Amino acid sequence: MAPTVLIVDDALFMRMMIRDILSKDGFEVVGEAENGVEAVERFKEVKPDLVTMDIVMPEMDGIEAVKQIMKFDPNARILMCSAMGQQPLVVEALEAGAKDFIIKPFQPSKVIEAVEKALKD
Amino acid sequence: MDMDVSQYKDLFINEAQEHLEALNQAMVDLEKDPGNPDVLTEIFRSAHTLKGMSATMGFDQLTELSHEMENVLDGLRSGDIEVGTDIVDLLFSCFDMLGSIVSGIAHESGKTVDTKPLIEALRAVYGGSSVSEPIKTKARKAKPPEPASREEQAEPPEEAGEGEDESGAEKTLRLKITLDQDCVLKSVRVFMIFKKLSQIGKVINSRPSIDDLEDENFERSFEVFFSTSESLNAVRKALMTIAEVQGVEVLAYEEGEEEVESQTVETGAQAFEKAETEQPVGDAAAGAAPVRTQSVRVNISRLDNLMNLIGELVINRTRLQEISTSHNIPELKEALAQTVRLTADLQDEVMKTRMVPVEHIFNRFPRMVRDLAKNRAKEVDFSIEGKDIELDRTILDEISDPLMHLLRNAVDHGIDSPEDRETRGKPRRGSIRLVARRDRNYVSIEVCDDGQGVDAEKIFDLAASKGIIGREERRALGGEDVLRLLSTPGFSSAKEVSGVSGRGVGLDVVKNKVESLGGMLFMQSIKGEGTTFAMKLPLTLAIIQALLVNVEEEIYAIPLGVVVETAVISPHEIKSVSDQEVIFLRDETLPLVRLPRLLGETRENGHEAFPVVVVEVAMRNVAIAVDDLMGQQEIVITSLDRFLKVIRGFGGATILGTGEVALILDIPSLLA
Repeated sequence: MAPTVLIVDDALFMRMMIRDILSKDGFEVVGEAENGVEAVERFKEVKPDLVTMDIVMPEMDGIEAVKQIMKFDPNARILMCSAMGQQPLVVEALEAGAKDFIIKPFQPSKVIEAVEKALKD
Repeated sequence: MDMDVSQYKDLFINEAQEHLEALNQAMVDLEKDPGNPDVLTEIFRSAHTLKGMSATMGFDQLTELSHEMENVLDGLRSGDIEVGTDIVDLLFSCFDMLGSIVSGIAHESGKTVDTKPLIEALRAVYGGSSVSEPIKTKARKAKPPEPASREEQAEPPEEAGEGEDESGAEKTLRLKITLDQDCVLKSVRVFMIFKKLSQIGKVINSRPSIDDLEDENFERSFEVFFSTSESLNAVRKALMTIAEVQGVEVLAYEEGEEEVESQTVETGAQAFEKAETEQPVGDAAAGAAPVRTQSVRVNISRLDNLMNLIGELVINRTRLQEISTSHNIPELKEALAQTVRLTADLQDEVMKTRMVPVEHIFNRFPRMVRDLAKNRAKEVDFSIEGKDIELDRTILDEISDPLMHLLRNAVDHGIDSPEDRETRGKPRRGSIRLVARRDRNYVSIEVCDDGQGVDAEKIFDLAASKGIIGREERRALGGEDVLRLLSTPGFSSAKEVSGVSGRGVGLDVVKNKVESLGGMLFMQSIKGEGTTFAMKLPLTLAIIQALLVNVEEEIYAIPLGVVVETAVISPHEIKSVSDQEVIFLRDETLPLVRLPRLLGETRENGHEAFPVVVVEVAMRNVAIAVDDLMGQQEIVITSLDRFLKVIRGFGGATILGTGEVALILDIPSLLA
């Protein structure tokens, strides 16, 4: 059974891209969210094996979303998606319980690597 | 595995433009309310998202410029940099630059722009470092957890290990950890590795030092002295779960007499195959996960095609109706009644999919008004109402320029200077409102200013002096004639107008555009209090009700929107007023225009009664003489291609149920 993924990013463009990368590699994208609030809601709804989480988003940022998701499910696997220049935030997210991170611009191989590693952990 | 990103280009451009609009909008807000942290956050977020997207697409100029912008925005957010006019202007210039790069990408123009001056200006603001290392300063904050304790660092690692068992016993390892060649945030990777190690053991020391690792002063690999009771495999496995860790090598192993094998674990296909079997399956993954997709992006040309197909369907339906009527087949009639209902529903649904909120074009106006007001030394509060109101995409695109025109007029000529306003007892800041509202089958869009208004008398005098109206006419004019005069081609091009009221620059263009869309333009103005222009627009363009008329054996369609009534006129009812034929219809004098003549026929006027169609053009009624009225029908507009478009008087063509082609008359331009 294909691992299920929830994609969180405020840019539709990025969501599409991640979706394409992951679905090509046999993952099942079970949901998308465009801000932190939505992400937490969708997580509770679809309980995905993995979440890819953008950091800078409206309503609620990715860090707060990680905190809330981890509170709901301490075993949640979350992969941060960050652009350059966000190191402190990446670290904060990792401390909040995120498993790993990937840096935009994405290379599909890196995305897949990070996703697979996070799932293995 | 490199990625072909070209397939995302359209999506990228769309979204990038949305972000640029949001940036412009938010920046206008920020200028009004410089301290507002929410607005700043929003600007920062848009710039950041734009950067990420651009980097993904490999558009370096966009990435670099938005990155530098982000640094300045960060400074604004933290309060290190103050929001001032120069900064706002600089950021606006950046937005413009980004916009032109994006449109360059969209049109594949291949033209290059020079972003250097802006980048340098941005750097001057935040005192930034070189672009090649933009992340260094921040990277420092990513502190890996301290090795077990600083004092222990000096101690040789050998001291720690003296266990016997593979797992369970404490042993000391010297690990060589290698990161991927193109690993981006090495310091954060180090942080993760140390975090992971501290979960399963104790980090004693590292080479290079922890400080150097934090500062990314290392190539791809570093060594760690690590004491743990876990097995070698467990340690390796734990580290390999971190992305971009390419390999873990055990260089030395202190635990009794066991030999240390140098082993390298490679990430790669085999590792993943193994992972496949080990993958935990989430408890909810048992097929219960609902997949919801709320919206789909569709290329506008698809919708156009769909609309065209429905158009064809409507034509065919009309044809079938004609057959059923002429052959009088009741069953067919019955079946057709159903088809009529279904096609109407279908048409309705497709129309809805073509509807776009007006904010799509409204969003760019605040910035424009702001720039213009600044340029003209006016103080203007600009507000938008009803941005959720929807209009057909095609119409929306068409009215963008006319709206811009009206807004420009409002700033330029409507709003009075702050000084004048104060002497008149009005607040210094003028207000311009852009309002959209739905009115049954129409959408009305208004531009209201509280400026100096139009002095109707002066306009009339000017028109009379220019010979546009006669002295007789001058006396009969009322307020509703102002717009007609203002939008007379040539009227407003005169310089003296701007001194008097300034209205009307290019108003004829606006009016023609609105009318060619099947809409109407209104104006209301009170001297000294302000002016309101209103466009009344149909919801859609593609299918309209039209009156079919016959002239010289040719069928023409007149959009029902402009038709007031029809009548039959006898030749003796025609009078002549200063060389213009007129008719009297219920106490109203209407100019009579003979369509055959307008279309180039040169025949004599007949002596028989003929039908006229009374149309409303520019808020006055005109009677159009035709040969025959054929009835009202729903028609599908097919626009004329660009060679035929230049011919005045025709708004398009349509195919009738019989297969005949009828030209659609564009009454405003025909009579202009």
